[in-house]
Amino acid sequence: MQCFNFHIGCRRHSKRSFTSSFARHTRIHLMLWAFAFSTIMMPSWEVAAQETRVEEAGPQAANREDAYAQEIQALKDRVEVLETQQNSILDDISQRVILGGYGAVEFESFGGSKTSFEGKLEVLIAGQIHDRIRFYNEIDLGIPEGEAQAEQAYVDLLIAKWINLRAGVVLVPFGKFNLDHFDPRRDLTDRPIVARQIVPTTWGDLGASLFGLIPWTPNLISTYEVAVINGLTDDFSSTTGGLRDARSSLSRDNNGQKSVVGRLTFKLADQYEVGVSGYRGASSDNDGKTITGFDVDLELKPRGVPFWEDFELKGELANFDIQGSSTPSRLFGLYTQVNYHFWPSFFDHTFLGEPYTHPTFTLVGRYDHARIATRAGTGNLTEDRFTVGLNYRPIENYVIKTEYQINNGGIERKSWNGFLASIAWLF
Amino acid sequence: MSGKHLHRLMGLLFAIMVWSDSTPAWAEPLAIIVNTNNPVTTLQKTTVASMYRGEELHWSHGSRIKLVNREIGSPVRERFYEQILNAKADQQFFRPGTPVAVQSLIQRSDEAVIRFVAAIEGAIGYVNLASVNDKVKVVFILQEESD
Repeated sequence: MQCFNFHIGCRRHSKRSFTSSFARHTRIHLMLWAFAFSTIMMPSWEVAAQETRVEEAGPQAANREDAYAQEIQALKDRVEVLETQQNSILDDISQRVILGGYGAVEFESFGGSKTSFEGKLEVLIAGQIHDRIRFYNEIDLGIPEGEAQAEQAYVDLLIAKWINLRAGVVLVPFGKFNLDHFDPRRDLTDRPIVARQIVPTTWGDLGASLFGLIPWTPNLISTYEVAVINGLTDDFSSTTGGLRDARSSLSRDNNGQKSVVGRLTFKLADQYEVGVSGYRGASSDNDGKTITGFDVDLELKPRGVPFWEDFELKGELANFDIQGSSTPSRLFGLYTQVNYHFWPSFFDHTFLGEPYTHPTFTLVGRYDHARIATRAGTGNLTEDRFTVGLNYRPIENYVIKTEYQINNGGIERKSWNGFLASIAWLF
Repeated sequence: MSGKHLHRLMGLLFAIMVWSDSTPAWAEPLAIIVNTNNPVTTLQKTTVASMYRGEELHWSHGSRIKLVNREIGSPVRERFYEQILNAKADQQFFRPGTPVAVQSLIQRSDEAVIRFVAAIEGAIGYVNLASVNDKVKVVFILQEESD
């Protein structure tokens, strides 16, 4: 600032000192220019100096970058190896052994009998011994009977899609209900009469079977299973004549002849299924009591069809003839059931809907009929049942069921009407 | 053309523009992927469905099919279940005669599915087509369908 004032005012200096003044001014100007030049140029000099330093450090930095890149690549390779190992372990764990189970607790209140709670717990152990060998065990822990028993315990040799070998305690391939009897999967607590007294579900037996899948077209497939088992005995129920007590209880065959049983299904687009089953076998050693049975089942689950996709229709019809037996000589039964799945949106923000992805209510209607005939002239035992039920499934593997039954007949519930409720779960 | 007609025409064009803009967005194609060592080159939609329903257990060359799934709630899973399996995203498929669900491994991103399928030879999974890289092989593309 001082220099500037001086520079502006220099023309006002007196003439007597002009020469010396000129010389002094020239020096001062030179100094000013030098200062200005240095001020302007200094940053450039600094940058230039820095660049020189970078250029000098360049090879070292490049080496360091290369080292880092190599280190990163090595780490990436290690992560990839670890991921591969982790994925292999995950794959192994997920495929090797499955431990699960299902349970149910039921309450019933019928006229003519005491109200009661009943329960069930079954342990499931399944897995693969090899890519082509798998096993499955379903152990009923015996609630409330108190005696644990294998409901299924078999091993599969998976030969090809269309043919495989199963051996052990197999679920007898007779009727859809027997093969899909699991409480958490069913929509009503009580089984149909036909699935208790005519087809004695849950029906497992010692034996071996061949099973497979045959695709006819991309949308139409068939499945089959043909089994040779010990078979039903002649221990028919003394009160109803039903086949429930005729199951072998996994004991040795009471006759030397094996029973043959099988089921063939046709399934269209995984939505419509029709199954046909047959059974033939001796029930006792020498008195020629041969049991012959057939079963037709149907399950329609339209999906992607507006309105109808909320409905399910299922039904089953079974018949057994017992040659040489008078009590019973013929057993026949059927059921048909309609399910309607719905979910009113006003439940979305309640405790019933909020925490779950697809909670569902199902309204169920079922009609049952059974008839057990004798040749002894004591007449037929029949029973008809109408059931209306409502269940709530927050998730597929947990269900709360309620239902009311109207009965008319003399086989199971006689003519007592009643209420049932249950909770079933699968894990 | 009178000004009145011109206004009507412009209104119509504007309405068409608004309408065309409000038509449903098109979803990205889904790719069904397998390991690069898997000799299978293409699969049909019904075959993929059959695998995820547990009806097909082995590849045609013999090794076991290992299913990879996305978590329930994932939009990719929702589309796969709806368009391939004709089912809701939380539907389970069971091994016949058992209450045991068909086993699949859950991965929580396209990248994780790709990493698993790239590492495990018998694996099959589904991802958005845009996520696919050269570490896996695409055997079926589910073309765009409107939301």
